[in-house]
Amino acid sequence: MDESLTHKTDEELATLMQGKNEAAFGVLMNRYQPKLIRYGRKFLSEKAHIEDAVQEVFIKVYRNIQGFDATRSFSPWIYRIAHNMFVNTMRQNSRLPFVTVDLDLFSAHAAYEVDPARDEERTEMRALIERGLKALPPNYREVIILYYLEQLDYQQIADVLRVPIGTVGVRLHRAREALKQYVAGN
Amino acid sequence: MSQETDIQKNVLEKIHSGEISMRSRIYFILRIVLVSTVSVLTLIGSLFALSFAFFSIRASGVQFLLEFGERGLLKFIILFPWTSFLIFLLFLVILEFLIRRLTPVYRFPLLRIFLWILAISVVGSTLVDLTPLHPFLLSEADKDQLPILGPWYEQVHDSHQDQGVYRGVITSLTGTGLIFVISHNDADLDSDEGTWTIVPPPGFDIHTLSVGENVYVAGHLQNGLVYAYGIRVVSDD
Repeated sequence: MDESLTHKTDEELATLMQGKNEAAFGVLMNRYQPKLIRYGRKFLSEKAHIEDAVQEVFIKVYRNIQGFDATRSFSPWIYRIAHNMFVNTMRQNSRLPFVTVDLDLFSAHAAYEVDPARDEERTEMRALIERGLKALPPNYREVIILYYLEQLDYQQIADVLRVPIGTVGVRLHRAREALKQYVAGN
Repeated sequence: MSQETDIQKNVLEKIHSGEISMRSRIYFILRIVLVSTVSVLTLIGSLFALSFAFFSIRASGVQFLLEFGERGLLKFIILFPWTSFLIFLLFLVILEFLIRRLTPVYRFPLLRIFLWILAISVVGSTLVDLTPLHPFLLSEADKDQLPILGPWYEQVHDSHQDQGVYRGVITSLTGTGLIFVISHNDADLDSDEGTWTIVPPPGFDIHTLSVGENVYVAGHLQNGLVYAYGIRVVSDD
C-alpha cells in the first residue's frame, strides 16, 4: 500500500479515485470497511448479509465516485450509500413496509439545536447502546449509531438519512429517552 | 480481518475483470441536467394548471356563486375546477420530490419546503393569469384550433344546468317585470344550449337588466321556470 496515501483525507482520496487511482480506493476501503461492518451490524444480524452489503456499497462507491462533490464531506456520502443498502437488505430479509410515514419530517423542530455530546455522555451512552440498542425502532437506532458510534454531527446525519436537521435532534432526544427507559426497566 | 480483505479483493477483481466500471462524469452531469429540466417543466406545468384554475373560475362565472349565499357557496365547491387543482397539487408533489433529489433542501422540514413551493406557485400562477395566455388559448379552442387542450378550455363555456346554473344573453324582458328569458349558445351544439325563463329572487330589481346583457343565474328548475336565488350581470370583458 502506498504510504503517502494513508495520510490523505477521505476527500483527497476520493479526488484521486476520480482520476482512476485504484490505490486511493484501496485506502478508502481499508478505512471504511470496519466502520461499515460495524454500522451494518446494527441493521443486519447475519454476517454474510453484512459482508455482501458492504461489498455492494464499495461497488456503488466505485461506480458513482464521479458523482461525488469533493468540496463536500465524503463520510456522509458513503454512509448514505451504506444506509440505503442496509435498509434495503433489511427489508428484503424481513417484512418491514417499503414506505413508512414519519411525521417528524413534516414540521420544524427549532428547539433541538446542534448540541455536541460531552465525552462523559458519549461513554455513558455507549454503555447503554450495548445493552439496549436492539430494542429501539429502526429510525431511532440509526440516528443513535451515526451520532454516538460513528461520531457524525447533526448535519452529516441529516445528509445520510435525508431528513431535516431538526428531525435528527428530535430522534436523538427520543432515542436517548427510550434507551434509558429500556435499560432502566431491564 | 481476513473476511474484510476478501471483500476488498472481490471488489478489485470485479473492477479488473471489467464486471463493474466507473460511470463517467458526463453521466452525472446529464442526470443533473435531466432532473433540472424535468423540475422546470414540472414548475411550468404547475403554474399553468393553477393559473388555468384561476382563469376558469373567472371566465366561467363560477366566482359569482360566492355572492349567492350558502347555496351559491355549495355550488361553487361543486363546480370548482378540481381537475386543474388536483393536477397542480400533483405537480407540486413531484416538484418537491425532484428538488429534494437535486439539492440538500431535505435538511429543512417537508412542510416548510412544501409551503415555499406552494407560495412561489401561487404568486407565479397569479402573474401568469395576468397575461393574455389563457384568453388567447380559449379563443383558439373556440375556433377548434387548439389540439389536446381544446376540450379542457371549452369546459369554461359549460352552463351546468344540471347544477342549477345557467348562463346566457337576455333576449326579452316580460311586461310584468318578473320574468325574463335568456338563451345560451356557445356555437358548439352542446346540450347546454337552450332558452330558459327566469323568475328573479324576491326584491330583485329587474329594471337593472336590459336585453342583450350576459347574465349568470343560479336557481332551480320547476314547471319550466327557473326560480333564481342569484343573478349576476357578466361584463363582456
